[in-house]
Amino acid sequence: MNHLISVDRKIKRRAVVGLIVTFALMVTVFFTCIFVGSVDLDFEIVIDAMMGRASWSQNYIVKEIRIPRLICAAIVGASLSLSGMCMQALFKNPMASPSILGISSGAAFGAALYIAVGYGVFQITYGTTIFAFIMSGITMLLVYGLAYQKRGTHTIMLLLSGMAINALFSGLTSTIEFFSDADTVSSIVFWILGSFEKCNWASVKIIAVSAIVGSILVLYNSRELNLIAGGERKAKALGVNVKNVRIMLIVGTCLLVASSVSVCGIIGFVGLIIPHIFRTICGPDHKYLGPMCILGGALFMMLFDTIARSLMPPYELPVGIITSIIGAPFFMYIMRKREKDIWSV
Amino acid sequence: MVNLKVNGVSFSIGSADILKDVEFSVDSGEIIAILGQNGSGKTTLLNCINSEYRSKKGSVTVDHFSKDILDNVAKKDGPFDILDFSYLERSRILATVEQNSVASFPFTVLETVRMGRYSNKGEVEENSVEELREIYSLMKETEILGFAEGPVNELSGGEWRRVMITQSLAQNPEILLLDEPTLHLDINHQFELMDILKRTIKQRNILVIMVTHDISLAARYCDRTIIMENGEIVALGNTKDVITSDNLEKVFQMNARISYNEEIDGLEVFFVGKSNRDAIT
Repeated sequence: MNHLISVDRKIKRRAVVGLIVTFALMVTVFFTCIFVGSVDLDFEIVIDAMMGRASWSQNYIVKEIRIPRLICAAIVGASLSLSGMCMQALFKNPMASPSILGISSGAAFGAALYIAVGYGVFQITYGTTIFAFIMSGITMLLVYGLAYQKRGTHTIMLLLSGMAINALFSGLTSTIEFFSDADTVSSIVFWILGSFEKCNWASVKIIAVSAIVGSILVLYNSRELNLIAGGERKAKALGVNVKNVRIMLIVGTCLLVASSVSVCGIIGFVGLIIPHIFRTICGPDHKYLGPMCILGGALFMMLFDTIARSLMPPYELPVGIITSIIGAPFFMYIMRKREKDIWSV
Repeated sequence: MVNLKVNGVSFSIGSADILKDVEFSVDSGEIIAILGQNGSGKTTLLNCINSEYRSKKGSVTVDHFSKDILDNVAKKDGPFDILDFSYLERSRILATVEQNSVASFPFTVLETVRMGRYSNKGEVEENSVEELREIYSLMKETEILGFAEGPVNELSGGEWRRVMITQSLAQNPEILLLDEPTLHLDINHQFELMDILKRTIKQRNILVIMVTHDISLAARYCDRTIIMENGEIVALGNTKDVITSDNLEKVFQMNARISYNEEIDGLEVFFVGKSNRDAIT
């Protein structure tokens, strides 16, 4: 009995220590990244600026550019990795990521549509974001509608519909690009590559609400997610109302993905690797892995974005490039080193 | 004493009738084997009992369960149709161990067993020491304490099967459905598993329905046996009355010698060879 108690404690301790360390790292990264940028700011000036006591331009740089941008990156990183975690468990597939339901390409199509056609017609503020968000919603309904069967929606059908819709919207986006002039193409491509350059408090407000609602939906069902990860039939036999839980999880994921994609374009790889990395640290229990992905996703995305904007000043690299170029080798390293903890096939 | 009744269940996929008017009634404390050739409808029957499939005709009812499993207080008297239960209610009374479940996430054995406590109705507080004590005694009975800390994806087939059975027992069920529990196991692990299973379920007075291919194992361990052929029950009753050389020849076209062995308190089946009745007729 004592052995079992100590095993139980060990599992919990591993997760809790992981959470505390990641949280501490995230806070450290947040404050460190405020100092990094094309304008050099001293420690005191940053503190003064945060209190609103520095010069107008310093105040503006810290409070209206760097901090909202960091928060935006944190929210997007957290959303993408949490939704990736959710998809991996729901589809029992280590290769699942937020893009698997086709939502990202739906959003990209919405953005491309606005940039190429909509801008000339509507000229609304945050038009790209709004179009992308609406299109991700439509994509979500399309995917679910396509997978719908009278006897109940099957997870494999969802996966296949997601892939089909993904292909459809990628094709449509390419079509728009093909018929557009060079300037339009480059702004579409730049948007799709993903960047936090245009983030401000308004974008934080836009994504915060749906990110919070989405996170609550996923975190609320973390115990059920553990059971579903072992197989849907098994989960049903253990008492989980799989149908309802799955709808909640998918709506949650869509909110998470839609909000982040609509603000900053498609940032690849984060949703795939962050859950894997943190699963090796705190174990697969989603009760801990969920918060862990939120903290870890935020941590990595703030770091990646800071690297992206400070690597080759005054130019900014699209953060999507950095996540792939740095993320991929890091993931390969983890994958080889902690092979057993990743997954078993 | 829980009672499970299958009342004239029929099931078909397209135009193919998989189950035809299957009917039987069993009580707790019994181990029931369902035997039959591939495609005789064994697993489908199990899926109809645990309401994974909805039967076209007929119903599956349970009655006289000892636990208070229902959430709605204003309940009518039993028998209760299994389809009327919510997922939670059903899982408090009925547990299923599937044939081909696989471990994908590296959960520890302890975490995996604890998942069986999901439908627990607050009799024992969640994550408490009492709950752990219950899990401990279960894991001790099924002899998986030794690898409680290990990740499930590193277990052998026999160990994994035992973990899945322990998880189902953690549901505290009164009815346990097993689909080919000994499939793909080495002979020593088959006997080990069945010994553990028999001991545990007799202690807890659980009704067990077990689909199996293994006639010798059914003959040795099961109190009652059902033999199915083409979606119908062809023989049902005490194992010694059902597993007879006549029935085995009729259903499986096998010549077998069957004798009672006092030492193991069960039947011994020796297959002589394939019967050549077809050749004669």
